[in-house]
Parts: sequence; C-alpha cells; structure tokens
Amino acid sequence: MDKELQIKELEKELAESRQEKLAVEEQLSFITAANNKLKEEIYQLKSLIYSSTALITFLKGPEHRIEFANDSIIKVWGKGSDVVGKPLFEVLPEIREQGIQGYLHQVYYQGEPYHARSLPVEHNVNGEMVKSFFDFSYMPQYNSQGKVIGVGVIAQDVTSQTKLHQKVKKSEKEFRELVDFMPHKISIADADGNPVFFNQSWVDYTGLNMEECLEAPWIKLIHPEHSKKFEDEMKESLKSGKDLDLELKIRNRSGDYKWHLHRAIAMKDDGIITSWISSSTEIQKLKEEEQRKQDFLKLVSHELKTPVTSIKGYVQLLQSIIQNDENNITKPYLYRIEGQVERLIRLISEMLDLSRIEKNELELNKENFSLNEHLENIIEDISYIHKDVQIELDHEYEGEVKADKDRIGQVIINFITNALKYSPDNKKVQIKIFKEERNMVGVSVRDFGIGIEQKDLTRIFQRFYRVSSENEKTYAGFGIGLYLSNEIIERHNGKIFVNSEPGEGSEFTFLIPLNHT
Amino acid sequence: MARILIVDDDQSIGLMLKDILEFSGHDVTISQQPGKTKENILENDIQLLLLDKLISGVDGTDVCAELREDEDVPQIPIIMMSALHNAGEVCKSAGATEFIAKPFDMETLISKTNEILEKHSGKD
Repeated sequence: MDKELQIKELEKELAESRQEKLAVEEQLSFITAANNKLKEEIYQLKSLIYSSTALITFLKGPEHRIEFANDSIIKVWGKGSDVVGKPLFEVLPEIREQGIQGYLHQVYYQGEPYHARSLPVEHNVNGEMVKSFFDFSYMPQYNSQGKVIGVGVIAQDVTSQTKLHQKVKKSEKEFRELVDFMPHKISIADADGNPVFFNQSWVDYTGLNMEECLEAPWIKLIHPEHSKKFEDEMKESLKSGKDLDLELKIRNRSGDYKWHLHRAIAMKDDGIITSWISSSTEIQKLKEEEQRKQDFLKLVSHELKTPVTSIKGYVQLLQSIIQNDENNITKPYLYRIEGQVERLIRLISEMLDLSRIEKNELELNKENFSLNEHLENIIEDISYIHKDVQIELDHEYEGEVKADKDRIGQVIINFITNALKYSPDNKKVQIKIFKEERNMVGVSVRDFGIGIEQKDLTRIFQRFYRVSSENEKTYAGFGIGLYLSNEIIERHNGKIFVNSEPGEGSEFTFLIPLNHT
Repeated sequence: MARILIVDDDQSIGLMLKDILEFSGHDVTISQQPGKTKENILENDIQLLLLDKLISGVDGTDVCAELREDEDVPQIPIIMMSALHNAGEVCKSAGATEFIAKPFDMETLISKTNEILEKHSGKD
C-alpha cells in the first residue's frame, strides 16, 4: 500500500514536472524570438547609422575615445578605418587647437548640448591641410544612472553650400560697390514701383539720406512740367511691364532742376515682375550743348542770309539790265552765279529748318494746290539751271492736295538734286505722280546713278547721315536734306521710303494723304 | 514812280534794295535809324515804307505799330521784311500791309511793290 501510494505520488510529480518543463520551454522560445527581433532591430539601426550621409560618432569618456564612427565620418577624417578605440585628438591632433576640444569638454562636463553652423575646420588629409565647413550637434550621452559617459556627434559637411554662399555674398558686395561707385543714379523698386533702394549717387544728388530717399514722395523731385508725363508713363509700364525711357528734369540738393535720361526695366521671374531697376543719367551738359549748337546754327544761318540776299538781288538786277541784249556774253555766267546762290540759300535754309525741327517750331501752312503744276514749275526751274539733265515727268494721277506747298516743294527739290548729285554719269531722272490706295497720292523720283548699299538704306533719313564712299569728297552737302524731307512728310501724316540697288540707281518716294478737309 | 523809304540796319541790303527799286523807276531814300522813320516819312513825303523786322536793338513790328497809331503820320503802305519765314503773321498784326521773306526774288519784290502802290493810289 505504501509502495503503491508512493508510486502514485511519484507519477503525479512526474506529470507536474512535465507540465512545468513545457511551460519553461514555451517561455524560452518566446525569449529567443524576442531576442532575435531585438538583434534584427539593432542591426537595422546600426546599418542606418553606418550608411547615413550624416557624419556620426560617439566619443566616450573624458579622453573622447572613439567608441563608434560611421562610414561617412571615417571618410571625412581620412585616417583609415582602424580609428575606433583611439582618443579623437590622437587621430586628429590638428583639430584640438581649433576650439573643438573646448566644445567637447563643455558638453561632457556640463551636460549641455552644443550646436554650430558652418563652422570652419582645417584637417590633415594625406599631408595636406584641407578647410571644410560643418554644421555640428554635440550631445551628452548618459548611462542608466543619468551620468554623462560620452558625447554623441552628428555633423553635416556644408562646405560647398558655404562656399557658394560666400561667393554670392562677395558678388553682392561687389555689385553694391559698383552701383555706389557709378555716377549714374540707380534705384530699385518693388513690383508695384515702391522704391526699396537708392545708390550713393542718388543720395549725393538729392542731399537726402537713404531712409529719407525711400520716404520722400518721389514725384516731388521731378520738375512740374514733366511729372504728369512721368506718372502716366510709369503707370503704363507698371501695368504692361514695358521698359520706361524718358527725358526729364530732376531736382538736386540745391533746388535746381537738371536734365536726366531716366530708364527702368522690369526684373522678371517666370514671366512675373518681381522688381524694377531704374537708372537716371544726367544729360544737362548735353542739353546745354545742344541748345548752344542750335542757337549758333540759327545765328549763323541768319547772318549768312543777309549777304546772300544782297548778292541775289544784284545778280537779278544785272540779269534785268542785260535782258534784251542778245549778244551779251556775261548772260550764261550770271545764270551760273544765280544757280550757285540758290544752292547757298538752300543750304542756309536747311540749317535754319534743322533748328526749327529740333525746337518743334516747324509749322505747316497748308493750302490747296495742284501737285502736277507745282512739280512742273520745279522741274522747269531746275532744268533752267542744270542744262545738261534730262528730267521726265509722268502724270499718272492729276489732282489737288492740301499741304504746305513750299515744304512739299522742298522735298521734291531735295529728291531731284540728290538724284542728280548721285548720278555722275547718267543725268536722267524719271518722276511720277501716282495715286495709292487708301486715299494717298505719291511722288517718286528715279535715277540711274550709283545707288545705295543695303546697310545704308534705313539710315539715310537720319540727321547728318551721309553715305560714305572712297570718293566721298565729290558729294557735297550737310546730310540734312533727307532728314528734313522725312520730318516734313511725317508732319503731313505721310510716308517716305527708298528702293535702291548699288550701281543701278535709286527711287525715292513720298506719299501724302489726299485730304481736302 | 513812287517815293520809297527803306529802313534796314544792314547797309548792303539797303543799298541793294535802293538799286533795284531805282532801276524799276522809283525814288528811294535809305535809313539805318528806325527811330527817325516818322521824320523821314514826313520830310520826304514817302509813299511806301520797306521796313526790316530785325533791326539792331529794335523790333520792326514795334516801329510799324507806332506809325499806325500816330495820327500825324499818313497811312502809307508798309512792307515788312525778315529772314524768319514764319514772321508774316506777327508783322501783319502789327499793321504791315505785306510781308516778304528774305532772301527774295527781285521779281517778287518789284511785283509786290507795284501791286501795293497801284492798290493804294486807287484808294486815294
């Protein structure tokens, strides 16, 4: 009985211990799995840290012994991979004196993190000192008792960004100096035209400092005569984004107004205006010179007119005296003198007209007249003086125009005398009066002379422009005639143009409206 | 034939005008002093005045206007002359009968002179 009981007890114990074993086994496999998972996680974290482009290291103890360093920081140090376990300043003795030791000590002993931006560090790479820039974070690392055991370092190499930033800063400084150094007045305004910057030249000119310049109601510096035009054009530019370009007077520190050429252009980003850059260049001297030149021209031409009037009068008087004396040999000579006097008068008149145009004083006296008759009279006069020329006139259109008869005559005479002047070998000129569509009447003058090069065609209507050639001296004149003709035709709301082929001759044409109103 | 007075500060112009007008049969007096125009007209019983617009120190239009306002001066025709082409209106509003731009044609001068003299003698 005792034995049986004993066996039962033992069996029972056995069963219990089997159960316990199962439970332990179960627990064990759970722990193993958790352990594996943890290992996996640590591995992942480590590989994340190792492969990170951020520069990461952990420096242990007061010696800042390298406990851990990722691939990126090892590469930047450039001292090989067997640096782990060595004190930092043994590996990189050159950085000790650059303040790094101080920062690390501070973090280690005081337990406060330290951050730095674009910190310059020079270190030795293969015997050469290389300067780089880093963003740094030094953070105290604690053990489970809360005691600092080391310093974690996360850094970023920002050398290229820093150098770019320095370059931009240098460039900006240079441009600012440049802008201040210039005698031109430079300013910058925002997209709405509110000024944000004035250069030194502005400050010197107005006598206001930069802040006063920015606060000053700009428009008050502009001469009242020009302020309206300036405001209108500026509004238009702000709306359309078009360049601003005008001449106006601006007040200086002593209250005098000086002429300036004012220009502004829009700065755009992706087609959207971001700001405006303006320059004002003083042109006072230029304006004064221009004025003096005009006054002088006016005076000269007026003074010249008096003796010429006298000569012309006497030539005509002599002609009248010998009019009925068929055999008088001086007759042709007197005609020659008269022709040259007429030419002189024309040149003087051109000078006067030029100053009138520039002062906007060239007024038209419009009347109704027959263009055909007017042309016939002009051709008769020219043929009278130039006996060796052949002028043909074709009346494709006949009718009256309302225009300034003298001025239109001046254009026609200019066309014909040019045609003759530039036809040294073939003194033939074909003239045509014709009607154009849109109620315009035209006169064209065709010659068979030397013609005009393509490059000169658009410029011959400019003031003082003369076609240059090797034998330039053979062609007299001021280079004013076509400029005046252009101005006269433009004031008639007409058009002037030329077709030409070098060696073939030229055809000058003007069109004026046929308005009888 | 008429008695004509020419007032121009430039002697060469004055002489030239005198020669031309005398050639066409007139009796001509020349003066370089615009201030003495009134006396000259009265003394010489002048029938036509040729007056330059720009005389040294004096504007011919002022001389013209003064003559027109002066009741002692007979209202003879006045032709004003100028090298400025667009001075015609100013001269006429000052009382000038006619305006001639310098330099002028002899024919224009003679025909205008005769035309004016004819018209004026018709009025008398």
